[in-house]
Amino acid sequence: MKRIPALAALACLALTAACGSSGGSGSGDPDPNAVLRYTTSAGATSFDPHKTVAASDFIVLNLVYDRLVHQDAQGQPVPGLAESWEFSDDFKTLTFHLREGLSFEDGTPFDAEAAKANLDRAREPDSISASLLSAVDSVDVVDPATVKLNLNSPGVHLVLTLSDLAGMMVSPKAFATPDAAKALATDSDGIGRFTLAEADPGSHYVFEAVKDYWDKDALKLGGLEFSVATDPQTNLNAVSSDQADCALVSPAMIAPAEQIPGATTRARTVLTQTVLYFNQTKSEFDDPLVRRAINLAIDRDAILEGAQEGKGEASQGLFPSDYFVSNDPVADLVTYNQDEARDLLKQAGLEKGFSFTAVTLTIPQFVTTAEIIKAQLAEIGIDMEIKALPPADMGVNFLKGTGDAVITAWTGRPDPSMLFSAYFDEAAPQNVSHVEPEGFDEALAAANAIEETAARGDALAAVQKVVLEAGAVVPVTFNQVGTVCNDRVTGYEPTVVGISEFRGVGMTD
Amino acid sequence: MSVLPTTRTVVESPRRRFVRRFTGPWANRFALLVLLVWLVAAVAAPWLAPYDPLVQDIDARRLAPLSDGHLLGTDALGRDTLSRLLYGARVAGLAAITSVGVGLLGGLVPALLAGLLRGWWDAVFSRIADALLSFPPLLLALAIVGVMGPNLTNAMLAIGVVFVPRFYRVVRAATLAVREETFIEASRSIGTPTAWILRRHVLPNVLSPLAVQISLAFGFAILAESSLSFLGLGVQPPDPSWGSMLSEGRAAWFYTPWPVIVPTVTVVLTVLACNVVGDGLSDSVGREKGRA
Repeated sequence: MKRIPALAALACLALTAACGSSGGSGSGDPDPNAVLRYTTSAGATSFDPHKTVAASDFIVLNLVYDRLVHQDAQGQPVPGLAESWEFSDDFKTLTFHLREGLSFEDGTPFDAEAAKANLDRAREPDSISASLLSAVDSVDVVDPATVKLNLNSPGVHLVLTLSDLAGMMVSPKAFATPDAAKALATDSDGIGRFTLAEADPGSHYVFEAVKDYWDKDALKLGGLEFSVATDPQTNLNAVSSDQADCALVSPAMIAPAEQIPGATTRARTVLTQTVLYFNQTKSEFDDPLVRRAINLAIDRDAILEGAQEGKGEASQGLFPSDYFVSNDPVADLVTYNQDEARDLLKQAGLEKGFSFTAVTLTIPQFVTTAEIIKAQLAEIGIDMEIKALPPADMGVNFLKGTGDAVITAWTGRPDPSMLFSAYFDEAAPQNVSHVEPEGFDEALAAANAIEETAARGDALAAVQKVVLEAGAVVPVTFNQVGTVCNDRVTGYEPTVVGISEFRGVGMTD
Repeated sequence: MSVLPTTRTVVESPRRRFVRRFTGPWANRFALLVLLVWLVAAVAAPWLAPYDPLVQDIDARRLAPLSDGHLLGTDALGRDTLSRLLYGARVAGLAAITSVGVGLLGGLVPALLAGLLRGWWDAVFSRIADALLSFPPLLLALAIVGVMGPNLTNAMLAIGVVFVPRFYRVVRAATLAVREETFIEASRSIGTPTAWILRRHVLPNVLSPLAVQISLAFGFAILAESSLSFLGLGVQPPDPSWGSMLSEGRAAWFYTPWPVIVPTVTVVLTVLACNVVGDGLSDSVGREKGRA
């Protein structure tokens, strides 16, 4: 007799579980006061979108700073703080029509003057976006709700460029004085879905939802807690023990994440890629033959298997294979070929090999990638020493001259021209060697003068060829990444760019 | 008909008595055996290891123990676990010897001086030791490695620094006990130089407690090196250390548990052996207690 209630309870439980997991995400209306707890592998190095040195800060900063242009899940431009925009016929002026009636966190109204001040600041030489905006000659205020960008060359790429750090709008008051600008590094002052309530820089951030946010569909949460743990297993454990609602899932963690009961994993191959990038002023890397040799000495399939459990794609160029920019023109520059690699080293006078130090992240995927690369380079006589540093220090240290090369992730960028400008334009702060491949400027300018997608893809493929013929980088793998969320979380969709903005994500009770 | 007195009580030398007492319990013998096996493994790793510990074979990833040609299986990159374990023993042994060496170098002489001479020697050295002791040992090692940069040498130095105050305390206490003995007083009264007294009379008498401390320190050093390497602050990849093997295994725990189990059992067994030997030593030196 006693068994019956127990059985009934069990049946109820099974039913509830079945209902809860159907569809993979929560049912019912999202609770507007819910706080989503997200755990991931890196925080922000600065809350100043223009003067930061890390492109990956976008991952945190998009929560507190809206951009002129936003992106949809497919990486296409959609209206943000600008309601619409248009190019002149020659693509040499770009006009933005701004959303009206908005104000910054500190109460300053958002208007064309504020937008101009931000665009000017994003073009200052010490801005991370300066090289991305080099096509902009000047910014004019047409009326309080219209800004016009006067360009020195056609700027088709600028729309998506302004959906990244470059297009983030900061209250002009927050950078009016040098002291204020310094404070911006630790506290945001923008227009966004959230405001920063509390921060342990690099480890934990608490965000509160903004009342009366302009885009009701994008904000269904009362707040967001953002925690950082470099160990991917720790992040997964946080979800399975209900200490987090969502966690970043890196390639090797997709299979374990899919086993978490009551949670759904959504991942896709994204534009975020693993690369080996040289400091061309160090070791033997001033010689393009050496850089090209390394490109040919890497067996990318082995890395995909060994470091990413086969999740993602072995790079055949700087873009995934189904992307609108083709990798065909560079196939023979990145296809594994040890004999040719040895030949190139011989031509460079280094048949006996050489040694260098590669810095990488302390995240397991990158350490493993580095270990495999080390073993592969050893086969052509190159001795690579690995130095693993925490994510918070690694990028900054490499830019300061630590290591001869870096094995890292380049976060996905919505427009290919951004990747090119950020790492190969000689003026770009992230271009550690400040060396530019020959013919790079011309090739990129040509691509940015074409609006039609297929033709622009061909032109961008030509830029890629210029870059890889100079061996300026070793593309390694594309990552399959995404998020595992418990089933109370609704509306999450992984983006092709690879960054989870959590727009429109909510939580049911 | 009695055969008194027994020969044993009459002729047993201190050394023989020590050996008899130490090798009595089976646990001591077993622990000693474990340590000897690792000593041989560490010294002879290049000849014993069936494979190069760094050579990867992506086609033979994550083989279970007893797989074809791999007694303890392979890790996520297809490297032979047994070979890595043997080379890891070198790292563990080297770390233990170096850090204990650093600890002795920094702790022994100040302790002898402080114990024998007392006065301001004692005051100064003891306060420094107190300051060092007030840090949690692993945290102190982490801080030192954090400042000096992650590699094996720095990790060993850091652990050595952790040992300095511990050796200091033990040796100083033993010296304090010895200095009151009449033979020291006699030696001083005829004007023997302090250095001679220390070397000839004090040092031999503090060796017993020191030996116990050293064997315990070996265990801690192996554990600390593993911990630092686990955290990526000791041996740098791809070189094998038990700690880094554990950390690499843990990253792929979902796919196979063996790369975690093997180094874990190794570390536990080895540290346990060090501690058992330490306890055995402390039971076997000095006067016989509680025996008829």
